[in-house]
Amino acid sequence: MEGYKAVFANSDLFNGFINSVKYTVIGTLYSVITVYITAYPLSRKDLPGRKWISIFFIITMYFGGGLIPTYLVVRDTGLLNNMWALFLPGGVGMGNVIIVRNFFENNIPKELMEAAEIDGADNFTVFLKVVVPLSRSIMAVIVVFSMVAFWNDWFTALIYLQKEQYPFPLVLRGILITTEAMSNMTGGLGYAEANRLTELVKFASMIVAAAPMLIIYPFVQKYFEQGFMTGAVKG
Amino acid sequence: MSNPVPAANAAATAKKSQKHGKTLGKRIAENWQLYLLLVIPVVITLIYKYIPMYGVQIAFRDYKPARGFFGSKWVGWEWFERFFTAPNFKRMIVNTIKLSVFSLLWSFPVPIILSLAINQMRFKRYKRVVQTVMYAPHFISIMVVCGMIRIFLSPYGGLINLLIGQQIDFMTVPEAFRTIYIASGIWQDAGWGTIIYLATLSAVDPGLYEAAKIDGASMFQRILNIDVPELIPMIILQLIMAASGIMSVGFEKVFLLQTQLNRVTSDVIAVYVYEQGIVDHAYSYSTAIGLFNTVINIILLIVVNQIAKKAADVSFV
Amino acid sequence: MKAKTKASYGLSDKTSDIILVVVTTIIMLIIAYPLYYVVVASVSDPYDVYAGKTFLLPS
Repeated sequence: MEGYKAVFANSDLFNGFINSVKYTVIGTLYSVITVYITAYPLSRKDLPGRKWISIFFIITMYFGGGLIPTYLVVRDTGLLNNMWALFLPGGVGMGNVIIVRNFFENNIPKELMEAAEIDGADNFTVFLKVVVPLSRSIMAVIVVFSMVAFWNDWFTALIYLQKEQYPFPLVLRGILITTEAMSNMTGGLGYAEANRLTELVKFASMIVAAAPMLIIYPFVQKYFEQGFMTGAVKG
Repeated sequence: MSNPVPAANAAATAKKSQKHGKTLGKRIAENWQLYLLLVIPVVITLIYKYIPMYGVQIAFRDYKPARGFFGSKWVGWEWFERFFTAPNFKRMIVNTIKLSVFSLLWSFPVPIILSLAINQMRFKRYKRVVQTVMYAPHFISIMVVCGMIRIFLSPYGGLINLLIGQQIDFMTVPEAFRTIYIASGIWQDAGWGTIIYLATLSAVDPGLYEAAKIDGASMFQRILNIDVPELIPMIILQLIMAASGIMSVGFEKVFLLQTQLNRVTSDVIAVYVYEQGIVDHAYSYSTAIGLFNTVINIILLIVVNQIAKKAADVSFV
Repeated sequence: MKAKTKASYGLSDKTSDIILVVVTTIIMLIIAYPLYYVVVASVSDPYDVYAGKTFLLPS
């Protein structure tokens, strides 16, 4: 197990790990909230202008500014070297919005919502007290997909963040590419020992990078398979 | 302008009143909370999706940060000309297309075949297990996958070299690049790709299988005559989507697998866009290349979509 | 169209089932192996890994 101990003893890797946890947790929160507040209004057939608002969002799935224009906007909004550059440029995650919207439309019984409205509930209450609790299974899917996306992401971090803010995969890359022994860990050791430890850390950190997501996804496997099922049938 | 509500003329308003029993104005007012929920998403989308679209125009301008998108000097096709006459232009286009096409050729059939096989499995518990294992590589970061590739291909004891008794550094061999890229792509995404096909197959009426069995059809025949036709529309749909992405080979994996020595085959457009734009700060030039790429993708999408419409009555748009 | 009688589960069905299980198991092992290899490598002596001694079990 010494490879794993060394991974967390290494300050760069440890920082990277903490950063990844931070970005994943906050990013997933951001993702779930934005997906839900976008999907719910769009799922209400009685909302005036629903079609146009949907088009407004859906266009962004097919057309975009491209790498550089987006980068420039991020820079101009002061988000360089800021964690939020990892979340905001992705917009509201339209793929997820559509999945959740379809779920709301097809899996939340209208009678329940109507009953709540008759009891005097306003839109917010219906959303929070009826729709959200009933959508646990799809929320689990969105949570897992978001976590995976943020935990594994390295490219946005590469272009928008500084070295100290790098998430784990990016630190991992630095380690994998260097072939010499890593001096900040192996100061007191002989050459052979240092090399040995470096190689061990390479393997261990790859597992550290991959393990969290591998452990989580089986728990929601049933749900995302179902999600695709409805997607395929409805087209 | 954040909430584009269609201007309602008298007839439409009357129609909608009939449909919903209330005037448009009243319905908008009633649903104010829903609009409130939408404010943040709309603002985020406007700033980070639509403004960059507006910024694409710098492909035709000499962008200077001080002058902004609209204020920078107009230079027309200059950047595009520079791109078309770049020394590695032909190499980049060829590499991008070859990588995409071969990738498609080799990896497209795999999820289909896998899903046909899995769909026939009768032991539900084991089927679940197989599927779980199949999905695993999809959840592994591309960074880790490339790390694994380097380890397996390492000249000093990587598994592949040990098996063949050599010490070849595959990462520096241009001819190997494509194979590495495609093979690892199949490993990572074939299992995940079965989801959509299995979902499509689940719509088959089990009675059909029973009837076929009674008629004496073997499993292989059942697959051929029941499952395959069921999958064809989805296959074509997936093919359309894949074909339209031919020119946009993903940046991430190529960037990670690229070395100085294999650039002959690994030099692709997406990486060039990154290098020129982010690394060398040639913002306008990079944007122009990206725009070129996007336009080609759109054209391809439309063309392939039309072909599919005519040939098989399946279309994406 | 509902079949009134269940089709019998004959020998050829049994063989296809077995072949199916064998094939999917092999595929499953191929998919899982690279990950397994790295896990094993992360708890073994790196020199053993590079000598090829750890392709099944850790050292």
